[in-house]
Amino acid sequence: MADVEFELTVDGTTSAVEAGFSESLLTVLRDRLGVRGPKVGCAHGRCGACAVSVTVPGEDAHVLCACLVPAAIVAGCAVSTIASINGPDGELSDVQEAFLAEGAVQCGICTAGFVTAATELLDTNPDPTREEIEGALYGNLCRCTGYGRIVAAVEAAAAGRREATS
Amino acid sequence: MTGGIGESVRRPDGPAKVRGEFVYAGDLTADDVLVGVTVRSPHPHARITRIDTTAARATDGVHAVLTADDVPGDPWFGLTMRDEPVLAGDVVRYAGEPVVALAAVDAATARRAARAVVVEYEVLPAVTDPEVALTAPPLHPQAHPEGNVYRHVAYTCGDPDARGVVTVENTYRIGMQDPAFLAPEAGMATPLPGGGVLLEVATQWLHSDQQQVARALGLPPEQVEVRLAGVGGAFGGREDVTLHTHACLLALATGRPVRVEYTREESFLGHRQRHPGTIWLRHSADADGTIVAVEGRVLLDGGAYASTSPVVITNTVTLLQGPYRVPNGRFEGSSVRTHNPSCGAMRGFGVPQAAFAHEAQLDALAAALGLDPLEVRLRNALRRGDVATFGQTLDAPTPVREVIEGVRDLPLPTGPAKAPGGVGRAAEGGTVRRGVGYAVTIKNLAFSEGHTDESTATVSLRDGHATVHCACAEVGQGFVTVAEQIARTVLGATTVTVTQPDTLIASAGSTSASRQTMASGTAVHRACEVVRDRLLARVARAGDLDPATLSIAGTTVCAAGRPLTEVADAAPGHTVRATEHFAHPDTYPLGSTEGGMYVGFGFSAQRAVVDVDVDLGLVSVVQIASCQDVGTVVNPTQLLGQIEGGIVQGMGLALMEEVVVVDGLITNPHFEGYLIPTIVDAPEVVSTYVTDPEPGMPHGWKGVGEPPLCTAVPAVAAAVRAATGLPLPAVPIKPEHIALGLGSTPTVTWTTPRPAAPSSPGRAVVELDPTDRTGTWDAEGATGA
Amino acid sequence: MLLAAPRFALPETLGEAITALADRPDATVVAGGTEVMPDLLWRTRRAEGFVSLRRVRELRGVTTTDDELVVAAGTPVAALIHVEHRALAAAATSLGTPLVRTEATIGGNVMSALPYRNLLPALLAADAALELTGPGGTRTVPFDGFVTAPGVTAIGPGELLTALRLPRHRGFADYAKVGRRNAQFVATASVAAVAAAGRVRLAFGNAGPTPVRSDAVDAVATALLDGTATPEELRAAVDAAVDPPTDPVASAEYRRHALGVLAVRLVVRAQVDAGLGS
Repeated sequence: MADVEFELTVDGTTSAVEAGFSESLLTVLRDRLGVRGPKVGCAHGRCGACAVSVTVPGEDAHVLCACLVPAAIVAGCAVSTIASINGPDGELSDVQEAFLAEGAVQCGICTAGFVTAATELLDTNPDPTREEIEGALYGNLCRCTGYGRIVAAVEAAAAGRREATS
Repeated sequence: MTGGIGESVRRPDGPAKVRGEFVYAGDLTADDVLVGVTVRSPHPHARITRIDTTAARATDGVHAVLTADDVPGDPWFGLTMRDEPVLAGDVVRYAGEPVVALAAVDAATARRAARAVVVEYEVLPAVTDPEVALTAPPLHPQAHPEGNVYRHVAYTCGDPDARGVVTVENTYRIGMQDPAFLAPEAGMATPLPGGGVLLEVATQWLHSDQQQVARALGLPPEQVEVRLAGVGGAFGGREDVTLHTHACLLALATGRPVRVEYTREESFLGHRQRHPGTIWLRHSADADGTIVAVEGRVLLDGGAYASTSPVVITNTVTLLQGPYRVPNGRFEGSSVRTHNPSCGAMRGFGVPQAAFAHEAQLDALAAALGLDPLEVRLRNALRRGDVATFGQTLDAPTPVREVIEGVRDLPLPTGPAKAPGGVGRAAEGGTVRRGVGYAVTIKNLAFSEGHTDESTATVSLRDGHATVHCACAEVGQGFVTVAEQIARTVLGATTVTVTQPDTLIASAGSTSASRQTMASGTAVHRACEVVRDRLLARVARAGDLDPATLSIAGTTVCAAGRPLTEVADAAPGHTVRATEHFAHPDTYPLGSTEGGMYVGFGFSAQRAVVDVDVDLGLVSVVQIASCQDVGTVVNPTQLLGQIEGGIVQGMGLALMEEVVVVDGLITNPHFEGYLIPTIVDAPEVVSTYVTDPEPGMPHGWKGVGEPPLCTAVPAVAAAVRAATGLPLPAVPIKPEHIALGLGSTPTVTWTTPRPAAPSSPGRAVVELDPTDRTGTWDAEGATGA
Repeated sequence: MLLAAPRFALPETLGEAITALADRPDATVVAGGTEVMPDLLWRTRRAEGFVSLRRVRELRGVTTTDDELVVAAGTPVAALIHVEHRALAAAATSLGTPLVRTEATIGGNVMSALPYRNLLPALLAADAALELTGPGGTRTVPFDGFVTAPGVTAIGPGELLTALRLPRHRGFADYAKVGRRNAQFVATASVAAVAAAGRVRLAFGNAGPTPVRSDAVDAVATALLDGTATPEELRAAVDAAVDPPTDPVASAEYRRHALGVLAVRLVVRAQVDAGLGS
């Protein structure tokens, strides 16, 4: 079944991977490397539960749907999953903390994807408007919360960052 | 006190969830695990003429290929009628029906083997129109020789032919909604020594799964242990058995653990949807808006197998009048078998359909009489002590007026709103009109009509650490938080562990019907009280005190109100344990003279504000204000989460969500075609509460999960009607309904008033006919919601 | 070549890509994979192998000459959001989701050749040209006419779409689409407009089996822009030019209606932009 062999660096650990030519990054992460933070919601790029950050050599890191990317095309790249999102000393990050405090987590299957996308948003735009928050997060679906607490969590995390820098 | 009832305590499973470390059913794995897949029928109705599994069995890495012949126990299963084959052997009755289950070393091998299975079909005509099915010859004579009606419900109250000055009638249609929980079905079965099996599965109802799986396996229930695996949302869609039995059969056949995880497409095919339906309603009223009589008729498409169709139709028909005083009425309805996908439980359980129709009628009535829509609702609002159309006396708080007034007084939104059409930027340069609409609903809480509604909890306390064990399925709603809050409040526990639910303890019933805080929360509360009393008795003995003077405040044991010792230090090294059971008072079938059908009710009012691009038919929901009857606020943040989440699911049904079935085939079994609201679609939610404690419940709590959805559907529709002036008698409202003005207008007829005949009976009279059929469930107590 | 296997190639240069494709004539060309992967999941497409352009650096990026905006075919959609051609930028902004746009490419969107894909009407309204490179060299063809049927283009065997060339345009251009929710939706119908030197050029998505434009429509749209035609006349012209499908999402009647309404709105926006309208 393996068509191709390559290396991937996932959350700082480099592994050799054998995969089918069309095997998705999500499948490789979950089934071949046992990295289960990215979740399977739809496997066709609509729910964002599998969002991970990928750094291709020579490019900036960017968040994508791991289900839509054939793993082999990011051969040799660095993949950063929810496991790499931490606060100092391994505590929860400000975004994770805000998701808990604001009640943005119910069943939680979407949470890793939301935290990943929201973290990228705040890292690039620490003071987003509500429209910018929605614009950055509409690739992530949540069926439990109705999104109100998620917006509140991102706003709270942003407020925390403003306070920390002022 | 910290962390007790009434506080916004954080979820205990939250840290693992935000780190991506929480283990969901789809994350389960084991040494030597095999992957199970299902081969499904592509036809809505066909006779299986040949199944050839030779090539699949010969595939390298395949360990078992099972057909109907390999089911050792009862080949039929189902929640209310055992009418569904574990694996179809002779006939398939819906597109997507499981025919073969197989297990292989990995997913790719299993899928390849599945493609190698040969199933030959003689395609038969499919009955996909529920109107046709009503009178068609039995579609499933083996299980259901009487016909195709899962249940026919008919009753009257008062004099249904009484009339006021005006009648308003219309026919309403509700599309098929999918629960669309975000984690597709998944589970893992592991053979146990002695011939049993352990099933770890994302479910709502462990003991129902246990009974159904054991029956199919031909094992006693205790040989099937069901343990809850991490659940990624449920909303009713995990109440039925899907992959459970297949996984267990494969595990027993191979002697190895077998995991099964559906794709999103299989999830659409494999679980039950919300019933689509047609509802005709005729309201008659006096000039001041007082309702004189209501007549209604419901037809729900139950699809190929019964699931909970016999129960859902009862909700729709009995709550068709809404939260209003209706002295005279005639109501009937059927759920019928077709060759469409099976429908069953989804949050609201038959009530959103009724609510959409009765609230449209109230607005039509107000418009015909030139009255304010809220005034009409207030005038007819049910009150405590009233007798409902279905004969039950409302002897608990019935704050219909209060929720209406609560929502009426909330400020309207100000400031810029999201444009209709959103990121497509279609509305710029067009005309956008704002509309405001109201809806009020009644939702029954807990199981009904005599179906047992109970739960059991075991609580232990040692050195201030409480452990709670209950079979209540945590599906995201936050029961784990509530259980922890109860243990802190009652026991003064400093730390609490809520263990993973399993079938080693007695049933907690289903996580559905807005019932688990009431049932399992109360069982936990009772167990905590017994543990507390035993602890205090021990402290009293040790200190030679009168136990009646002892109490727990915060985390401290007090004697006559003065601190004595910390709970954590009260009985060092000693474990106090108690198991307690809770069951609601009995309920009775519709029409019974012994008592009411329902355990209780929740009431909700919402006001929706929408902006509509009328030319293009695009809608932006600007704000939904909600006032809900919640008994007491157990956890403000989690309560708000239920309200907001339910509202957005309701607006999804109102505006976009529909499983489109053409000739028995789902055309959109994916998230590109089945649209649930995104963060851009979600409105601002303003949420207020009426807190009138529910009698018989600790702290007066009551269920809250379903009313927000039930109310949002008609509220959003009313607001779009207000913006457009169109009748919009169908949901989801499609852009073309607005842009092209599709949909029939209510018929308004002016009539000569005719008072109710004095001889008319004061209570509900049930009309039985030969097609009436109540589903039965002989082991676990039939479901209901 | 970063990776080369019988059923997979990951070239780093255009030359390697052409060779890799020549060596694997049955392989599917992918860039980010966002178009092909769902098709494989749903088994609406088969693939015998992939040649991925994702890592070919020269196929990524936007450059300008005096008279052209040149977009390399492997440029991710996310990078188009700020290009000076506002029709292309607007169509890119509402394509898919933020998580899809980072890997979806302009070339992939074009080569999907489905009439509802976002970028197609924008490129048609922009009068774009396509640069196709094969073993025999490079040729340039107009985008108008390149899509011949749903999912089918006039690309030759062994050829790759390597760049898109748009006449430079800094004036009014826009794109709008309608769907059944307010973000992350496939266009039920879409319209792109470019106004240059007082002339309007419109193009329509999901208005027929291929992207649609017509001189007759543009003439009426131009007349509407300068006040010599009515919105009703433009809607009638659009109605005559389009042939949209009926499917479970919407009826042809609604699509016709929406295409006309959107066309008028875009011209009205052009009027406002030109200081002509209200």
